[in-house]
Amino acid sequence: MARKPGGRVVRFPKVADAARRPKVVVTGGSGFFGERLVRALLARGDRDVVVFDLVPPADLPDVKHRFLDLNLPFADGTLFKLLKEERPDTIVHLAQLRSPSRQTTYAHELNSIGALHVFAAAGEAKIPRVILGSTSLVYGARGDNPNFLTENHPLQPDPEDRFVRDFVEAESHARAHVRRHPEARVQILRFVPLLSPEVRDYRTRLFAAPFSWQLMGYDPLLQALDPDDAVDALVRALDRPEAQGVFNIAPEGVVPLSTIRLLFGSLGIPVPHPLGYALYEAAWLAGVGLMPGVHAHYFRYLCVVDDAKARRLLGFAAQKTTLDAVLETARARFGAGRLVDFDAVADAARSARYAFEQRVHPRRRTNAAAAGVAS
Amino acid sequence: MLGEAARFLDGRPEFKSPRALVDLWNLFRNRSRTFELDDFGYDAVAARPWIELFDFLYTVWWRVTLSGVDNIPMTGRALLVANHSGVLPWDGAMVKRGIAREHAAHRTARMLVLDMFTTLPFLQPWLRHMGEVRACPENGERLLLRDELVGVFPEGVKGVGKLFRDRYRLARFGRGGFVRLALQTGAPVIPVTVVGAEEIHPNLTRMDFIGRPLGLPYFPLTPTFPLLGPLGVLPLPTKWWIDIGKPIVFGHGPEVADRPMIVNELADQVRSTLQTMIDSRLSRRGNIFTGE
Repeated sequence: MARKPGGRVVRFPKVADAARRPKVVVTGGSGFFGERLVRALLARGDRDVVVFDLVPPADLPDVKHRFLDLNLPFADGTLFKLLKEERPDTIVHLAQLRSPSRQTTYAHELNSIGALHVFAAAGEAKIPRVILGSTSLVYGARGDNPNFLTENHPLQPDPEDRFVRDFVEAESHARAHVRRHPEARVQILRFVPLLSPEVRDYRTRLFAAPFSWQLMGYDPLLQALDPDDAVDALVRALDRPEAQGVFNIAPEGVVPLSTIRLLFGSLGIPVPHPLGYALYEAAWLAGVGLMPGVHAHYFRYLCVVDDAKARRLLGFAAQKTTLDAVLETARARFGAGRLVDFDAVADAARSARYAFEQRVHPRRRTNAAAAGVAS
Repeated sequence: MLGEAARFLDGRPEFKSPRALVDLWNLFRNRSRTFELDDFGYDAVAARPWIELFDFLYTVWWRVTLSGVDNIPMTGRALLVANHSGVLPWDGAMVKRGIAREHAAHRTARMLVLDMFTTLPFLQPWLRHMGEVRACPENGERLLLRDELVGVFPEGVKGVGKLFRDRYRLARFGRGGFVRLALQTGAPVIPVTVVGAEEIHPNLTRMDFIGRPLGLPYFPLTPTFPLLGPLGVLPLPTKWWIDIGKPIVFGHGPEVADRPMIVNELADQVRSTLQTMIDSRLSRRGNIFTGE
């Protein structure tokens, strides 16, 4: 039993009898992020995993795969039938584009309407739990943001930024789902953008470009999350059904854009910011840009999130700091023949991590106490 | 970092990667930076050269006399509350520098800076390097919970942009946000007054019709600005006093933070303490420039 914020006592729906293993459906389980989660769940072996995606996961032939195209107009009906057959306890919704797309209709259908379909079908099929993967970008990068955004901060992205707006809409579908089905358990995990040598989203492509323009006189602090830490947060969320609501999933530490450029060996060409926005937009419209002009806000202002709630309620603590993730990626991809002394940076990263651990230690202790109470 | 690059080049004259060329420029740009930033991006290495400028202003230009620095605790959280003046926020820099120079523990105060400065190009990364953060309750609370020394100017833009004829008359103290901050975190409030900064840019009148379209909250007209152009930005070399008063402990618990009337009353109490300190210093001050 768990107490909801309103003070009402809610019960777990009795879907799984004791003999049945818990079952998880991962939508988008063949994607970069989803496949990693599936692999982690298989390694643990305590749950049945079914992947709902367009194609089966490339490297995991043993996983059960069901075809699902969330872009079809009546995808919710198809999904409902699949859910009735599979009868999972939990849906993890990760079928999303994590970079801006020029095909705005497709991106909207998948990222926003896709989530709408998932929640509609989950409601009809009485699936007790849904976990929605979201992004920390939903807060919006603004000049009046505090340095660390907490989960109760209002979501104020630029209304023109369709990529981020679709994630905000997906979250509003999740809230509507909780309103319609008060017994349903929904967790929304707002992940900081991922960074590792394998990630190829618009951010890593921007950092990896040999040169790109930057907004003159601005050097915002950024966060980057290692995908393994993101998967760890999802697994912890799966293990803690009583922890409901929204969680920021973030690493320790921040790194300025200039340091990321330094480590990646990327030349920033400064242009006054009004011109910078126009250039980003022009490149985007011409088909060579990585993001629409309005999204350049995220390379001008702060959008850094605080992970204290995830630490407290999920027991989550990222293993890699932002600097670790940036350093590891830069070294793996562009480490050869460089003038940057990566070993010196690694020393700095180690001592920074030590400082974080010293500071975070008391919080870790309260985590252990909270976990003891929960078990 | 640049020295390391040179040593690296010595051994390997061949460039194996075109990125090495970019590295030359990036390493030059980052020559005085550290990778060990705190959560707010404070860069102790980048801040170092600016300290020399501040020391010159502190000792030679404004000849600051600091008193009561012992009222700042050696460790633990505290909230400095100061009057604001002088069109450009030099007073914050001098309070911070004075404490770092003369306090026994050389504590670094973290000043909460108005939005209008933290969103401007070039100033945004510079203020971050100096260790300043944007003024908002979330940032203040986070810093105080980390047991830092935090400085606020509750008058805000009304203080820094005030006219010469209103000098040393404290403007309204915001909405008492600093009182709420102190109550919630249990931090003592330490009153700080700056006398002398009101005269560095005598603000005769505001020409906001010029400032508004440029996105500035005010556009001052001083005897030297905009008449002398960039030279008009040079502050006058007045004599400064910074007085740090005894800590004010409110004697209320954090629950009072939700009672606006009491919060306002406490804010007014701090305001009148500051006004009394300013008036007493002004009555003893002679010439604006020499202090004799």
